[in-house]
Amino acid sequence: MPSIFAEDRNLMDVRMKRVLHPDAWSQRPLWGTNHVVSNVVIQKNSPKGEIEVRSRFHMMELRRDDVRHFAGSYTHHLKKTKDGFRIKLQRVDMTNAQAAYDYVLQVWV
Amino acid sequence: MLHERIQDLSRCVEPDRVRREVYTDPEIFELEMQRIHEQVWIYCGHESQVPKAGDYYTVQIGRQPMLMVRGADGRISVLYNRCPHRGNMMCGDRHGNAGDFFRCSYHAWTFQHDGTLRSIPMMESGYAGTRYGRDNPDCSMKRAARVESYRGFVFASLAKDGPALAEFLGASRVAFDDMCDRAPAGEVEIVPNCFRVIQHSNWKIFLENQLDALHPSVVHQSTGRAAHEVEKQIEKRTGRAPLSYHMLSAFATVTIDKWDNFQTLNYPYGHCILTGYMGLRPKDPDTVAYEKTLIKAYGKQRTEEILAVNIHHVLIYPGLSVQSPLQQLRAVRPLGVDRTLTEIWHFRLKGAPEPIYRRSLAYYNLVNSPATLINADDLENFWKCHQGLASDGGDWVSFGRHHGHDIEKDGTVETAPNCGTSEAPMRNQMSSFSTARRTCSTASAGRTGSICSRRTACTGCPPTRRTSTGTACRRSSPRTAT
Repeated sequence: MPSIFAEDRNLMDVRMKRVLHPDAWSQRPLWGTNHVVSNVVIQKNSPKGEIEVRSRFHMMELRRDDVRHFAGSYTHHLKKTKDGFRIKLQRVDMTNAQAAYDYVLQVWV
Repeated sequence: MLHERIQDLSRCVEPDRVRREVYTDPEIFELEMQRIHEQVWIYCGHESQVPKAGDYYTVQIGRQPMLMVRGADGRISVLYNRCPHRGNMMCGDRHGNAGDFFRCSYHAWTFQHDGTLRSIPMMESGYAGTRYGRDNPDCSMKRAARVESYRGFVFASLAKDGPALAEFLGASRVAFDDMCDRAPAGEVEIVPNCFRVIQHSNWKIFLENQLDALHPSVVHQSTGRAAHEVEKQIEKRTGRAPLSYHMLSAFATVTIDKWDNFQTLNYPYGHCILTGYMGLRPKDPDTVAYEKTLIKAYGKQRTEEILAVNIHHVLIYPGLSVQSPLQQLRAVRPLGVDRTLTEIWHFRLKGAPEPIYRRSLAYYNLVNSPATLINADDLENFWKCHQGLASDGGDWVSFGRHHGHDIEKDGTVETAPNCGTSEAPMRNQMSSFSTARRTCSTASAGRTGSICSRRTACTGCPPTRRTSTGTACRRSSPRTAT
């Protein structure tokens, strides 16, 4: 299964700029989301303060009158900073990754 | 009544405009499935999708669920995904391996990979003295009437008669020639992963968009501008930005007025080509290394010829859109009048260095993945188009741009110079659409009040609506006409 969001900082920058452009037709109006994250397990703990965390999620998204649901698992690589843990890498494996989709995901789930 | 309104379908299609019902009417959808998709050559898949004996892929042709399967002798068959016994679907999975033979999950009838009946449990005792058995072809899985492949791309037609595949494809064969010739080994291999997008719109809206050179600057401006900004930043920092940024920024840097510089070529059967605009022959080390492998395989002169082919899109009507220089294609599977599945596949150029594959993968992901920066805004417009067409706000869809300036030469319609944004491809598709209708209502074309006016019983209609010999088939309308 190829990654659909394996983006470096530059490509993430394109994505952010595009979503906020007034003529990003599929992105107006912007959506509202609600995430429920559970089953959080720390899988690895490095001496440098980096941890790998696995969890399950359920996300609800609202755009216009349509509610959509996404579910799957997260893998987070978190880095300890003076402001607390920050995301270094986020991987999302959606349960329906292999199914036909009648939606597009324009922002990180 | 509806059938009175659309009794003469040529009224739905004029040279420069089309009635909106062509997109929204469920009965017209049924007819076009019968008379176009279930007649002409439809792309099933690539031979490399089913490398081993017993490998199969399900595929929809018109409304028919089919199987593309590789036999032990290496031959590929296309079968109806249906057991001839009680009608059970043979394969429920989208793809897999059937083993040495197909076995129905209901009563264990088994079939060879080419659909021929192999065995029935207790066949001798159970069917002695009946019409059923190995000698009866109705006891085998039904095959597509015709199957042919071109350079590894498999097509099937559900109609016995009609042009051979090569004749049907005509000049649009360049889609496969261009893709395969760009491989040093002269062939491509499918990447066995497919993005499947459901569009909430009629299938024709997607096909018309494929060669619509006016839309990119409008629809994809947000992505083009954002990518151009970042591309410039990267160039400033490192001197060279990856090609994928150029693929995106072209949507903004090729401004709306420049699109008239390109050209569309329109062929019989509704096929069309849009010439290239991205300039995909950069001088980076990856491209240089790749071109060296081509020269080694083909020699300098032939390599130049191969790389000079300048195509952005080839549309093979009514179900395939190919981007040969980027090794990807989109197959259209209409699911209903307002629902369309597109399956998007990409390919490896056999013998080409890995970075060339990564390049096509980048484009494949950026344009067609669920996280697409491009197709998302197209899908929004397809949906809006369908919504608008379903309203009584107007009766016609206009295809009048640069109408009257097309140049016809030997059956090919070229757009005139500086008419790249011409709606000629849409006119060409609609011309094929309306021709298919005319040729399908031959026997009693003069009979009015009928959209299905064959003299004999109309086998194309559902049995309940079939009429006796000599009577025109008047299909009842589920809704009243306006």
